[in-house]
Amino acid sequence: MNGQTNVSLAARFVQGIGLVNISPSELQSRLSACPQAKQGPWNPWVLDSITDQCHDALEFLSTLTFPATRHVVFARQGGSALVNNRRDGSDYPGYGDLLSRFWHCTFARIINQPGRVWSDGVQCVVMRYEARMGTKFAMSPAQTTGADGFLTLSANHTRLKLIFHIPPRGRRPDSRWKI
Amino acid sequence: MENLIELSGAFGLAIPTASDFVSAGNYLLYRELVGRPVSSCTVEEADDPAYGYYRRGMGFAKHMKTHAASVILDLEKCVAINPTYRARVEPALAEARRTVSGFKK
Repeated sequence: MNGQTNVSLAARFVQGIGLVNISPSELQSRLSACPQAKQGPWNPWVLDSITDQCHDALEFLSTLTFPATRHVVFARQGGSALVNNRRDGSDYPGYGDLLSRFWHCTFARIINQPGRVWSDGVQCVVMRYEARMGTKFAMSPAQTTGADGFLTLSANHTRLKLIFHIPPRGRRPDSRWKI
Repeated sequence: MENLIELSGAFGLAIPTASDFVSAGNYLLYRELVGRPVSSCTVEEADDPAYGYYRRGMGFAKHMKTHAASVILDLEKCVAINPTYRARVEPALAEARRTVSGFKK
C-alpha cells in the first residue's frame, strides 16, 4: 500500500468522523475505566492493538461491516478523532449521547461526504448522496444522567442552516425542543 | 464543503483531513463486540455498484414465495452492471423465474 493509496483510502474514512476533546491516551484510560464497556446497552469496545503505521490502521478498517465493528482512534488538534469500518461509510449515528456520557467528554459527529454517481453511459446508480452535517454532544460535568444539550449544523452547497436542540432537563435528548 | 469546514471550525471542531489521518503517527485499533451477526464486504465490493443490487437481491431470495419479482429485478440489474456476478446469482435467479412463471399459470 503506497503513500498515495494510503491518502486516498484514508479520505474515504474521514468523510464520517467522530471528534472528542480528549487525547487518545486519555480516551484509552477512560474507556478501560468505563463500567458500561463490559455491560449493556452499549456494545463493548476491546483494544485490538496500538500501531504507529498508517497502513496497519487502514488494513484494520478495510473489512467493512454493517453495523460498524472496528474503530480507529488517532490524535487531532485539540483531542482525538475516530473513524470506523461501517459499510456505507464511516459514521457515528447514535453514538454521541452514549460516548459523551460514558467518556465524560464532548463528542461531535461530522459528516462531510460528497455525492457519488456511477454511470457507464447507459445505466446510472447513485452510490452515495451528498451529506454535510455536524452534531455536537456536550457533557456537563455536573449532570450524569444525559447530555445537557447539543446543536446540529447542516449545510450543503445550496443552503446553510443552524438548528439548536435543547432537551428538557432530565429527559433524553431525543425528546427535544427545537428553536 | 467549505461552508461545513468553516462552520465546524468556528465551533472548535476542526475536521481532520486524509493527510492528518496518514500523518497521525499513532493509532488505537478497537473492536466493537456486536452481539448479533454482521454482514461484511471488502472496500472494492462496497465501491462496486452491482454489489448493492446483489446484496439486496440475495436478501429477497430468502423470501422467494413473496418476493420473486424483486429477486429478478435486483439480480438482473446486478448482472447487467457487472457480469462477473452471473455465476453467483444464477441459482437464485433461476428459482425466482420458476416461481414467477408458476404465478402466471
